[in-house]
Amino acid sequence: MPKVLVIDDEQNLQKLVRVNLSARGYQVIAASDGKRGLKLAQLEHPDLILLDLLMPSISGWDVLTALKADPKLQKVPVVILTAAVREGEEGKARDIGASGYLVKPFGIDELLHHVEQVLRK
Amino acid sequence: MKDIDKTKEQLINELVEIRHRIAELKAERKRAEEVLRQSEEELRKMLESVTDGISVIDLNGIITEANEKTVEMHGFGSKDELLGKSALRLVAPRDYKRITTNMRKALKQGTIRGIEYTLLKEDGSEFPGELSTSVLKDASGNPVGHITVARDITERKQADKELRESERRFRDIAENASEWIWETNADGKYTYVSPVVEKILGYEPGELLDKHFYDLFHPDDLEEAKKAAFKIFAKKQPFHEFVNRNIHKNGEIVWLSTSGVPMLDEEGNLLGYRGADIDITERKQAEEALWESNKLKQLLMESFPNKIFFKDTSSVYTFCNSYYASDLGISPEEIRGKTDYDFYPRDLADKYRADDQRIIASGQFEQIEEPYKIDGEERTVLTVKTPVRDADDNVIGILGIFTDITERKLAEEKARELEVLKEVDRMRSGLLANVSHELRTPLASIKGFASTLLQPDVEWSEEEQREFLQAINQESDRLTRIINDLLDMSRIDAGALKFLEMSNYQISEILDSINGRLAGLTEHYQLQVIVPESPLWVFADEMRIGQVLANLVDNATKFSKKGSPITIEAGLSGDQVIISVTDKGEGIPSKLLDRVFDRFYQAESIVTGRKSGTGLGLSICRGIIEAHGGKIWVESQVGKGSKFSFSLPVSKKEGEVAQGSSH
Repeated sequence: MPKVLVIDDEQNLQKLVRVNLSARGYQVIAASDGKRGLKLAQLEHPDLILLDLLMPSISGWDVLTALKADPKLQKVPVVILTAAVREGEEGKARDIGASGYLVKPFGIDELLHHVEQVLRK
Repeated sequence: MKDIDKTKEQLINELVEIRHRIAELKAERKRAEEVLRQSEEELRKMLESVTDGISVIDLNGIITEANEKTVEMHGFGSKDELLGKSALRLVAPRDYKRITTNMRKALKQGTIRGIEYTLLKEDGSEFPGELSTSVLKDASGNPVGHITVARDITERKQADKELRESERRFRDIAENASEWIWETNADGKYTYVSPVVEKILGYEPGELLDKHFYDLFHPDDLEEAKKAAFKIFAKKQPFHEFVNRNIHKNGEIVWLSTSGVPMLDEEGNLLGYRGADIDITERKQAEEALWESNKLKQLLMESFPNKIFFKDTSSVYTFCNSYYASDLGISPEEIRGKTDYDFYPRDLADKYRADDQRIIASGQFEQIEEPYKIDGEERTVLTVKTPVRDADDNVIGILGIFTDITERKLAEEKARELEVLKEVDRMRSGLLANVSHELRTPLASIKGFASTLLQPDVEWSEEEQREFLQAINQESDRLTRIINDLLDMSRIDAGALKFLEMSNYQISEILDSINGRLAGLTEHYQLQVIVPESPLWVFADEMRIGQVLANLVDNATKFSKKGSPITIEAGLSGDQVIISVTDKGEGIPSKLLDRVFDRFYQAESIVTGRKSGTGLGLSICRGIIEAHGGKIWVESQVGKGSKFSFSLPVSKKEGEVAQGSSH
């Protein structure tokens, strides 16, 4: 049973991810900001991380960079979930090491597709 | 016929004849005696009237006669004291030998004239005298003595001495002075040249005596200088410091400054000129070097694309380049001696002078950017004024260089405008990105839950379905709020007052009206509301002020930890009601305090990763408060919290309209 960590300050989004992935057999854990997300990742060692980019205290960018710098976590695939659509950001995220990039709003099909694809790799 | 033969009558006749003859002789003698007496009288008078001493000395050297002048000259009381004395008494002993020799010589020659001796006065004092001696002879031609004419030549001797002294002095001066002294005749030919000339021109005085003064002139100057000199000769005028270029015997150029005065005879005819020349070659060379240096300075100044001037410590111009001079409508040579008061209006000249004096006093250079009017056109110049110092480091003037920076300023202005436009553009794209983010966030939940419900592979319980629909509903409201914010902003842009519905309200009423919203926002915080018991009336749009308060409280929650206190406080300050929202959150760095009310400002926070609203919230607040005639401001300390306050004018019709204050 793959363990998925969702890091997003939007409660409804956390819930959305949790209900859908849980219904399909994933174990879902969630954090509302970057700092807690990083801690949870270190503690729980998830199989996949879904990461929002714009959050208080530590941004998704910093979380992504920290994850990729951590030898124990750098192999954990990260899929970005973001409402920001600035040019070049997807490329930047992939350069740092993101495995997927999902722009809000997205349909559940898209989410599931990304999650399955990344985990298959 | 013999006497014996004569007759008696003849004898008587002869006697009568003899007696007659005797009478005649007697008369004749008397006449002769009279003539002699007259002659002696005339001689005496003559002797007394001459200014020379005349004396008669016999062959034994005894003075037998002397005139009054002799008595006086030798200081005797009367002639009697003198007569009978040896003539040697009147001569200094050292001249005895000479005078006796000369006396003997006179006996042979007859006369000896103008011999100088030292003579004596009765009291033994000496004086110079000149004697002429003639031999006195009797009727038979035998010498009987001398007549001596003596003259006191004390004054003449003194005059001679003075003349010699004066000549010696002249010679000393002429031959030792650094000036070369000369005399010419009326043709300009040298008649005297002092030896100094050799030092100056290399010629011995003798070599120049045949030459004209112009013979040594530099060939290039010859005609002109000669003409000028003879013009002065023709007018018989004195001349001073006539500067002329001459050729030294060794071929080098010698600059002389010549002064002279005409020498005229009694009828006023020009005999020649007398004067002196000073060697000014070194001075000339220094002047030329200075001129060269000034020329170089001028050349340098001319080649700069700046306006350059020098002033002395009294702010008087000493020179400038032609670029500056042309601004003033003069040539660079004309600037010397002028001041700013000659060119600029008084107030401007006062300012320039004050600048100069300040810089001279401080010794520090300054850059002054100032407006400058030229040909009626307003321009901007950057003036650099630097104190100029001499070798001893004393400030001796001021160097001004100014550059017309009008174009640069315009370019800077344009660059700034462009920067503002870029900033606006950046803010606009920031806003768009932020608005897009803010719209996409609730949309993500709406679409997410809608598509969740539509998924065919999962059977959701009724409770779950309700939960999803609630989320959709909640996020739709959020979307509406964001859209309202954007609309408010554009309304404020269009003219804020139009959308206000003004009425009289108590602050507590306004707080009550948003009570539910505040409770929701501060669910996880400690909200404290402090309102004085006596009512505070404001004339306001209740809903908009409620919106401002809710926004400030919402901000407070965004930037402080859950559980921390948030305080709303209202109070009176003069004719203003002050309402503040205080949190104990993270605070705002002071450099950002000025910007928090800027429209789109929070759009910036995308870059920092700060989760925020549209970036319009505080900007909308400011728009609303200012539309009410109030002000909004913030005080904050990083780590300690922020206090946002706004003021509203106290309502003046509180009592009358209080009743109908609901909306």
